[in-house]
Amino acid sequence: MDKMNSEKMIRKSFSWFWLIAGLLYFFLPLLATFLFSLKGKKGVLSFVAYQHVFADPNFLNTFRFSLQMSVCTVLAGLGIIVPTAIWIHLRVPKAKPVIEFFTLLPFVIPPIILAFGLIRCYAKPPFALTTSPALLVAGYVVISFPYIYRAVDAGLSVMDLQMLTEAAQSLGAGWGSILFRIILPNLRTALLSAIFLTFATVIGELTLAVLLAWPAFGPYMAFVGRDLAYEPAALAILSFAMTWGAIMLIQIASRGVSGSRFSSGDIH
Amino acid sequence: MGFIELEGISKNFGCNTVVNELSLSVKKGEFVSFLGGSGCGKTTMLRMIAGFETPSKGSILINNVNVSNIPPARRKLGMVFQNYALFPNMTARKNIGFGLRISGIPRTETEKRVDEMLDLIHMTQFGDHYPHQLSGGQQQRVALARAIIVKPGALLLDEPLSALDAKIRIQLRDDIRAIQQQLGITTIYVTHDQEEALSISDRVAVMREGRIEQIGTPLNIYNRPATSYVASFIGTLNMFYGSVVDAEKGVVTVGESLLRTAESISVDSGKTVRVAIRPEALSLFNNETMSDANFLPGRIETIKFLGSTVRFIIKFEDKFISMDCFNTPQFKMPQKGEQVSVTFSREACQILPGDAIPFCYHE
Ligand SMILES: Nc1ncnc2c1ncn2[C@@H]1O[C@H](COP(=O)(O)OP(=O)(O)OP(=O)(O)O)[C@@H](O)[C@H]1O
Ligand SMILES: [Mg+2]
Repeated sequence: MDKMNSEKMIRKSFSWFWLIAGLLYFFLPLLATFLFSLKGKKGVLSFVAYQHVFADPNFLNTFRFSLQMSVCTVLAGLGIIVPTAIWIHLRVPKAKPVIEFFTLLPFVIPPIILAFGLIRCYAKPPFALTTSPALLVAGYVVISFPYIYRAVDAGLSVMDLQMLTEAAQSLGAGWGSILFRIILPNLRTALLSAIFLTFATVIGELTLAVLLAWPAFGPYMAFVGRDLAYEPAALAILSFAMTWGAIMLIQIASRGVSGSRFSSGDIH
Repeated sequence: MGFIELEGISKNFGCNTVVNELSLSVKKGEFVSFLGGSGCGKTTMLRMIAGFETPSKGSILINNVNVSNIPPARRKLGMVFQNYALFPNMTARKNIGFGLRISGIPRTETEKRVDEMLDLIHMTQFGDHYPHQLSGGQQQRVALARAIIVKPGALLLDEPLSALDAKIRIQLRDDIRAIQQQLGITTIYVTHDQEEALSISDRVAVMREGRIEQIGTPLNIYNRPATSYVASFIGTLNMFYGSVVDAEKGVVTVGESLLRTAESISVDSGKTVRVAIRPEALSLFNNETMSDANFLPGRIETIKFLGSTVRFIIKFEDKFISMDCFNTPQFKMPQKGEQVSVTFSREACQILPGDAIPFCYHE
């Protein structure tokens, strides 16, 4: 009895140990960056670095631009990938390994190759798109494809899509009802994590934005980091906070839409 | 003309024929069960009726309309699945009302009919529960209500009770039957449980390898199995090889004993047949035994007390017979190892073609 108890204690303290270690690993650098960002004025802690950041109009402009791009990327990405994933799950489950392989490609192929490819293909007529932000969004969709697909795929795998679809069909539901009343509400968590990852990736993305010459937040951060000391730290903290803020907004908004019939189910 | 007509339906998956030239006519308001072992094509057949699979051959008529080109959503058939298939994001109420809401029925009427349904399935107080807050039996009730609220032409159920435990299973199956009778809804029910099929159906279709081996009323299937497969599949049965002595008079030998049947045998004299006898048709020799009854001598090997009945396994020559007796107060319990004479009427003795694998008794 005693032995079992102590074993349990050891196991429990181990899990606490790892939890704390994980939190430290995550938050210590953040804390250090934060403290460093407060040292803009010699000898005292102050928000002077933050004031500088906000005073620079490029900060808000580039952030706004990147935010717009991430919204477009999320919309385009979800619009393309969600129906595809559903279709694959329902009709061609055998193709899953193939698609999974494709989802790995953006990790293996560096963005710089993607950027050069895009420029080569779309710089001259009939596809002169290099000046259109659509090309940037298209590139971002490719980069975020793994995150979106994997999240959606995991969400679909746990819900027995085929049976729910058939149940809905036997009740007379068409594809619209099935998608918007059944599949998407049940995918909510998966979609949120897909959106989160896409946002986080696109907001700080550097290579594509630089090579396609867009005034995005990623290049701005790199530029500031090259010339200044405390401001980049402040910027890192700000972008971290803003990304989380954006995610929280999405979460609240999505709860407002489907919460009345769904999210309360999680709480009970 | 039946309400649902299956005409020579076949289904191949690659070169694997899963349903083979199956024909069946289901009358309006009738409750028909497909009964058969795993992999015999029951689910596939049901899914073809529902429209989720397309027959490779043959046609399906529902209410005199060939439904081959009608998608599942427009066939107006209610479906109940083994794993309930409730929508996890909706409460029981919303699940039940789903079919009405998407067809544009006003909210107030939907709510009213959902209330009626909740009442019908005895779940009034669970309307606001989500599926994960309901037991399996409750979930299946909701699934049933969801399927019947839209007043479908027919109800299709695929092993709806097999994920539930025994007690709930019996209760719910009686409820399904009662609701089906109350609404007069044409029902096709798939199961591998013979007791279930026999207890709730108007007719049972015993399936084997994609064909209907026999179709008939439960009584008919149980008492007059047409083939040894049906006989072995339904209930416990003693089966022996015998050879026909006199086909006209209905006399066969099993081992050293002569047995008489009530009817003449349609197999030539001298041929091998199978003799099937239900355990409950056997009794121990006593004063009331008819003079023209059949007898088999044997020795009691095991006695299994089952509550209202007692099952004896009796060794007869090199074979075993199982015999069920009612545990009445006047029943004189024989002892293990005792020599007894087992008797049964001529009617109890059924002759089946001598195909397939022999065995002695089956539980
Ligand atoms: N989509 C499919 N592709 C290929 N083979 C299939 C498919 N669906 C079913 N089968 C095969 O068809 C046969 C019959 O399957 P079915 O599901 O109809 O059996 P069943 O009678 O319902 O069995 P169970 O009692 O186990 O549910 C099985 O051998 C199965 O492997
Ligand atoms: Mg099945």
